[in-house]
Amino acid sequence: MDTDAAIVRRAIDGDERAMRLLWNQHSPHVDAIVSRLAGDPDLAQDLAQEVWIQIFRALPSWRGDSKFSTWLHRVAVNRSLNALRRTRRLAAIEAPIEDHTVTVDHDEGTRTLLAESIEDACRHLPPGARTVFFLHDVEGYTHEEIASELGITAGGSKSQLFKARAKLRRLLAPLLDLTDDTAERSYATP
Amino acid sequence: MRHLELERLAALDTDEPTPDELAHLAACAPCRQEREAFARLADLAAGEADRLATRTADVGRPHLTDWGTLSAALRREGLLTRPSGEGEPVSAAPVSIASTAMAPIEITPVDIMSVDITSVDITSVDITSVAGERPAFAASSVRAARAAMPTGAPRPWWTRAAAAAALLLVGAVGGRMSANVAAGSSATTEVAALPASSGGGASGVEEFGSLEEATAVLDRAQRDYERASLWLASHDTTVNAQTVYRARLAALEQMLTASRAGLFEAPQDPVLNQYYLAAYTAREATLRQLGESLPVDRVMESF
Repeated sequence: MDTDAAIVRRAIDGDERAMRLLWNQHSPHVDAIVSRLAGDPDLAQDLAQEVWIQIFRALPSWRGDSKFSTWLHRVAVNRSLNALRRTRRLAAIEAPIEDHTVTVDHDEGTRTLLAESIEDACRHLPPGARTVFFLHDVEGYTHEEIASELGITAGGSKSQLFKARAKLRRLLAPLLDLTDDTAERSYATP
Repeated sequence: MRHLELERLAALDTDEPTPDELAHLAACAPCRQEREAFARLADLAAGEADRLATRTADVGRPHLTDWGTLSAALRREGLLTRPSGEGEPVSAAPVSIASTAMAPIEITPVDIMSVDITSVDITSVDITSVAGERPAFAASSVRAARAAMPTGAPRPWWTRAAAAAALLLVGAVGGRMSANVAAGSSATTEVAALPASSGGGASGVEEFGSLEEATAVLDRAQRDYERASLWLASHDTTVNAQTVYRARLAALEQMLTASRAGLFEAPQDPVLNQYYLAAYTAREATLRQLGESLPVDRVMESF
């Protein structure tokens, strides 16, 4: 039975079958990461191939001291960020989140307009805020690491994160509000 | 005091609230609920990491990339240097199956076992047959299988399995086409009867509206077969179980005997040819697996 190490070794040697096996096994995982960071499905498709090429290029750096899937995850995140940076999609990293007032209520009609999953809700975030949220709250990056990755300040990362959370909280109201007796209240979007 | 801003509430998981904010939170139920909602949002986000990790098993979604395009790019980058089938004499020319009157179908390239299923462009398979004559599938298939008997270094079993899948696909398409051309409505009736004889089911022939549609299904099955073979190649934990191989060989022997007897009765039947070749290939692969699983100082004499 081929282990991850054996397959990776063959893939490093340029063996197509081993490379295809890795791609086949891990594509859903990598696709999910790329999709989360890209936000836009078309952009995700554009990026995915480049990310895979970078993953194969980076294979020799996997020492086998961690699970291959763990290593792959981190590499996929980093390479996706690199690819996004090259497409300049993160240029407007500090772009303000659209300014409007949102009413959080429990009207059924309103609920249907809201996001049904965190993945869905993230699509409504600007690229910069989405990336910061993904890196911090999903991936566990620190603000300093995010600042380094994205070329912004740690304060800027915090600001984007809190804005992203505030918008997600509104979009995900049906999921996050457990009680029906919450008073209707309005918030001025920052 | 006014309600806390949403952004401020969003920050309270890491930022300490000021005394004023604490006092407000103690007195204001809506703000407390908002704070709890943000805690649930944090939990949801943390769960996303787990969901991402388990995406490996999610096969329902289409890939963002396709291997054909990606492998071409990897070749250009110099990362893919050993394409599938390298070192094996796979003809670059399309696989051609042509039959003339009363002549058996010839399949090229001759070394059918070296056909790599991942590199065969099934759309380039050229099948021509002369109306009025039905090809002698059994003879040609058996001949091709014999010609494929390894004469040099042994090939991996999955190569053989992949080759068998390619051969079966060609045989099935050829059989379908030749049946239609040669036997007209009677051939169609014969093929249409297959699902009933094999237990019917949701994938009956009557569901196909055209040859192209049926071929597309076969093509998809080929890809599924390939994926499953690749997966098994790396995950099958029974690969060292000699008892499994021996039991499999015994069963395959019986299948070979039965399908061989069937071929004597109906040597031109493409379905029987498929069964025979599948059993033949699986037997060869299993024999090799069994041989490789034995200690180096032992030679397999029987199973």
